[in-house]
Amino acid sequence: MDEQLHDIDDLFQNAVQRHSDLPTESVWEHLEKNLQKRNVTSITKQYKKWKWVAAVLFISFVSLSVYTLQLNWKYKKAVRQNHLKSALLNSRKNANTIDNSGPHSNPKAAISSITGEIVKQKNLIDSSKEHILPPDNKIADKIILIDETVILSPGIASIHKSKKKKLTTGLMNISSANDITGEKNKNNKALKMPAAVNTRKAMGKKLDTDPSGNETRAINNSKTGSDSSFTPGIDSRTPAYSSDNLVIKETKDLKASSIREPISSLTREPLVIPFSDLNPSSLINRLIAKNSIRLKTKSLHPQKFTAGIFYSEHIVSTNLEANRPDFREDNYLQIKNHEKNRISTIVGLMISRKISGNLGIATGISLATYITDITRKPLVARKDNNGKINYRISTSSGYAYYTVKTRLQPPLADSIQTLSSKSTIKYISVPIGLQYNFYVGRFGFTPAVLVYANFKSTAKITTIQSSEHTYSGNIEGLKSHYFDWNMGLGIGYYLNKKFSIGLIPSVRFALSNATEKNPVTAQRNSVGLAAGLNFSF
Amino acid sequence: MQPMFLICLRYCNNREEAEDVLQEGFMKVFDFIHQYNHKGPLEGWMRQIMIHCAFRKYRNNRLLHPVVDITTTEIVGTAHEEILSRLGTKELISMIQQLPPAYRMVFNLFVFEKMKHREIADLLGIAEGTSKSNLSAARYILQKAVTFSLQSSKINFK
Repeated sequence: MDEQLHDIDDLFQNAVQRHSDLPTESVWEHLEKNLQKRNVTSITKQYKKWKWVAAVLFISFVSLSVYTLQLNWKYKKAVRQNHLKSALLNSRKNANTIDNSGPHSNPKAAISSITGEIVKQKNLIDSSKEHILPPDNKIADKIILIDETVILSPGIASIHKSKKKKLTTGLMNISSANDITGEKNKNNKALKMPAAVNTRKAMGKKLDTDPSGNETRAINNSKTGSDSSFTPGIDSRTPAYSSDNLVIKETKDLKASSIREPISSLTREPLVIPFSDLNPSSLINRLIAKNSIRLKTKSLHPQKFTAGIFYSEHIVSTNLEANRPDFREDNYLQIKNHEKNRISTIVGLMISRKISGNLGIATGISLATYITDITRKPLVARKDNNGKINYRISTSSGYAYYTVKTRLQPPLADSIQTLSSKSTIKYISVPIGLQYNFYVGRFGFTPAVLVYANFKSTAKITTIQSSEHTYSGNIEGLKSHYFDWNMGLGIGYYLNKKFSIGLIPSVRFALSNATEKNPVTAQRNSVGLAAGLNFSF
Repeated sequence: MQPMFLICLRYCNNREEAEDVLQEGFMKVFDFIHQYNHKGPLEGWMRQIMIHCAFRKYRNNRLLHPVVDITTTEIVGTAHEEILSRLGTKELISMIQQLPPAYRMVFNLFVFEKMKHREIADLLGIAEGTSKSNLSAARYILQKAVTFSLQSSKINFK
């Protein structure tokens, strides 16, 4: 035996070679369970990427939906107008078709359709509080159709001029020719059409009339062939046209006081437009267009500049990859397993300016704070940049050296255990990007894409070794700046024309690494929600 | 399986810890089997993984085990009448397991893995002289342990 002890190495080698032992069954059971768990975890990790994709798609979907809603809202009137136009065209077709078989009834139907739609339009606009036209029942009586002739009453323009001098339009009621010629219209007493024979030649020309207006002529409608008597009281300068050439007359330079006067007395120099150039639907277009201008001028939102302050909280995820692990404690998996990101906070100021239509440019400044908790882990003594041996902690954000005062300089590779650590990094960020603004009622929506330049402000790691010993050191291996981009959708509610409050769900993706010369490379991504107050000017 | 378990036994304090390391090692084998390049024997590749896992265990726990000064090692005698006539392999492995972790690592790497002190020093992040010193101390303790075992006593460093 003593001889064997002279070569203790061989003794143990032989002993180990001859030894046979098997682990217990529980090892295999645990192994099987863990393998199944790993499979589940790996599947979860695979879908982690898709979570981000889903978040981006969701925000895009919401943006698109809101944008579509906004477009529908914006062009609601135009769509209605198109319906109106098609209805009018159909009516006109029907009128022309039936025109060949029966007089008067078809134009009446067409014009009745126009009348109905115009009144609908008027009611719609009247019902909107924000876009109100001043209710004026008199307006409805300012279009008079006299035997296939449309006359725009001058009173409409003068009404609005006399009120706020803003709106020079009006909605009109159209009466059919038969209403006027056949029966006495209450609002247009004694309106009668003079006879007109050769309509194309007579178009735009004044007819010779009796200055007293009492002369009566027979109306000769070349198409319908119907005759009407000329009634005293009508403006003698009013021309008459055949159904082939419907004419719109417009008068000018009328005073507000003239509203109360009979329309016949207001008509001076009529503007004559052939029906082929300005059909009834065009008339509607013009009326609606004028109202649309009115709507825009009364809009609550459009301001050129907007400044706002915001507070945001983000859930941060850090992608780690092995870069240049110098020591065994630099293993990126080990680093990752020991770290947990807290919810980061961002406060800042944003300024935006409209550059074209709804498109705007945005910039500002913000302060972002990222805090990471690091669980209990050993610190290993390594040579620092000055050649001194100090305890080193490696994190995803970088590394730091601590000088433990209670000890002499530790031997190389010595280690101490910590209770916990915390890394705090602050960045001053300057974003710049584009945004698109649109509004639905009092709500404003602002999808935006911004690129952030992040400049390191503060970076330190605080480590608690025991209740009495806490160390703090600056983080090394962290870039002084990095870039990321942000995509978000601002949803604002306008309290008034100047102020609005808003929420901004957004995602941020790193464009560059936050670290350099670090055992691991870190890319910081986040998803969060901001709340802010905006001021428009 | 058996050779792998023996490796774990050599590098660990006790059987339970060896089973933990074995389990962790096999998990890694299954996880990284795609990285096996078929250039060497599979057993050698798995062996490396087991040793790596044992290292990790050693790193995590080594602070809890202060380096033992061999001059002050207290050897507590344990009656083992049967071991007096023959030293069983189990007993010898148990002696290795009872070595202080730093000594045990160096002893295992030098004796069983045939590594040189320079390689051991690089691997463990210690000086080459420390590796030599640790090996020498490990041998001394083991000699003492065997001697005392033969003298119907069991070494206990705790």
